[in-house]
Amino acid sequence: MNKSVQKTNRKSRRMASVKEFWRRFIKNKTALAGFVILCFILFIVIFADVIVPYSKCIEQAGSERLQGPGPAHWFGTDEYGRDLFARVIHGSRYSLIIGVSTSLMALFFGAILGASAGYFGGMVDNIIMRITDVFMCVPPILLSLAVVAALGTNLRNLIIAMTISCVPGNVRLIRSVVLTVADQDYVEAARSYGTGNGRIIFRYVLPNAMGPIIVNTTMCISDMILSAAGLSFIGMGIQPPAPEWGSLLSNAETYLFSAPYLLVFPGIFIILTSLAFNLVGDGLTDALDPKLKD
Amino acid sequence: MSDNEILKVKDLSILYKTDLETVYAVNHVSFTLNKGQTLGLVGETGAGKTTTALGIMSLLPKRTARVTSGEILFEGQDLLKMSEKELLGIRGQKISMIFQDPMTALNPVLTVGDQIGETVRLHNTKNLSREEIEKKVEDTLELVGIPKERKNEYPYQFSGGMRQRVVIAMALICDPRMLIADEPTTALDVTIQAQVLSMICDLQRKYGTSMIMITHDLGVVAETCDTVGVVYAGEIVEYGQLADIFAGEDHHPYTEGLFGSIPNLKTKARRLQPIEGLMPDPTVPVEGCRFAPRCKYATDQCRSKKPPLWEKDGHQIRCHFAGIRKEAKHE
Repeated sequence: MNKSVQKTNRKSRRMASVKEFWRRFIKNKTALAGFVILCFILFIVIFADVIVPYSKCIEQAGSERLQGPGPAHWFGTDEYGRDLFARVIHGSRYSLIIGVSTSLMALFFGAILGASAGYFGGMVDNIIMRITDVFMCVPPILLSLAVVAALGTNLRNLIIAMTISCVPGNVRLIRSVVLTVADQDYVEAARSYGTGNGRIIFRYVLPNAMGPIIVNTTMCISDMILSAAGLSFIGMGIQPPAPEWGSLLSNAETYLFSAPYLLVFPGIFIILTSLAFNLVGDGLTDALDPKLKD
Repeated sequence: MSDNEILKVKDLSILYKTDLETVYAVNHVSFTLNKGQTLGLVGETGAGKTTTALGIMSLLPKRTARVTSGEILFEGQDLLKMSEKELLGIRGQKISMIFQDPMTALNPVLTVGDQIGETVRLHNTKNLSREEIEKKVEDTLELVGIPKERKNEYPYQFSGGMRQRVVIAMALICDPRMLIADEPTTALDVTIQAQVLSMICDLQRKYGTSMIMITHDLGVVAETCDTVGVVYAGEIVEYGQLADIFAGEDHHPYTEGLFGSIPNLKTKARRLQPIEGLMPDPTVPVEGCRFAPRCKYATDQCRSKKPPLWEKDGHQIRCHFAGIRKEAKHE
């Protein structure tokens, strides 16, 4: 009986801290705006099939080629007469999956490698950083290109390739933040209470290095959407006829002057998504920092 | 090692080696700490007091520091020969440390209660449940004079003195057998110093913890310690009971210098007498007495030959003239 009371106490306390976090998050109006846009895009991703059936975006109609925006086709049609609105809506799935999953994977590997390099130093640092340097030497897009070319083009390989190109930058950043945090007295104090290295890294070092890491990861999401667009542009990304924002852009290039709307609509969605993630990332950093609480 | 001793440091030497230079930080230091007692290590900044403490905790920076000689016997076991895993079980549970600067010794992203509980969770040998740990954290907070309602607050919401109480709570929550206090009051203002100091001593007495008090403040030593070691340039130059140091007849010239540098209400000195000069460069190995360049009694013998250890009833002085030179003391 007593135990269950304490359990609900703990639960309510956790609820309280979530509430507190939310209160601080929505106080930041730009972050809230970002969050609203993000919700809107997530809504599109989840209910894409309800909004417009997938068949619509691969259905070709020769008689309706390159029509401008109008009541029949809200965003117009492309060179095969496919409905651009449907393609943008369904493209959001590919773009978001690519952006979010590559960034999270790059964050995961970057955090482990970067934190070990910065925290342990010496040989570990040297080995990790020299390998990172090798990868940094190759331009990221070229690196993803090489990996995709080697593994073959499909969604999974694309994500792997882009993660590989994104990890080195993350390792660098996280190592440098960890270096400054690992020097702090509270880390040494933690050691003096008998805390093991793993626990120190995950409970003391990384949480205190969170600010720059969150910002970097959200920036990384928009970066990844854009570089997936880049890869699609040169034909190494998502293969047609599957829609993806980047490949929509690359098709639009041919008709830049005669049908600019082909470029404008996917472009707007890419920009909105990037913006939303960046704003939310900024807001998260502020809301999670106990020092900025008031 | 007799039953009464909890820590015995024998002939400990520590040096920091980098590509550019070798710093001889601690040189052949020996001392003993008895159960329930307090040992004071007094000396200037850079004398090697903190290095000694970190050496006992095996927390020296691995890449640069080397222990070149000696043993550190804690309850009969040599800490220097223990594996990292065994040490993890000792740190925090049997030996814990109070750090100098409370402003930086607390993790800013953990609440105070979480942080204090962390030590218990790490050494949960009694298999306490979460609720019991919470209870223990609350009790310990009350013990150091912080209302338990504040346990969900973050370190930045506390003042310096309150933070030092938190640090002390963290050090004491596992009932360690030995406590190392590294200048626990240096970063606090004077009014808080006295409070914190007397709190540490009360708790130490209450739980029978042994303590090493590292400080540069002779006032703190007089108030808290049973045994005192005066550290100069990585060496203990004088070692004895509190009475030997404060009221004894024989002294090392450096100890005299220390007493000459603090104001005294009883004597009418116009000016304080600081010790001239600076500590010797720790990167240069010394032939004779380390204090010779600053000592007003130094002779050629002092500069060329290492002084032997003079001893009388447990009162040790490392000086050629100890026991011979009776000085008009504390003039």
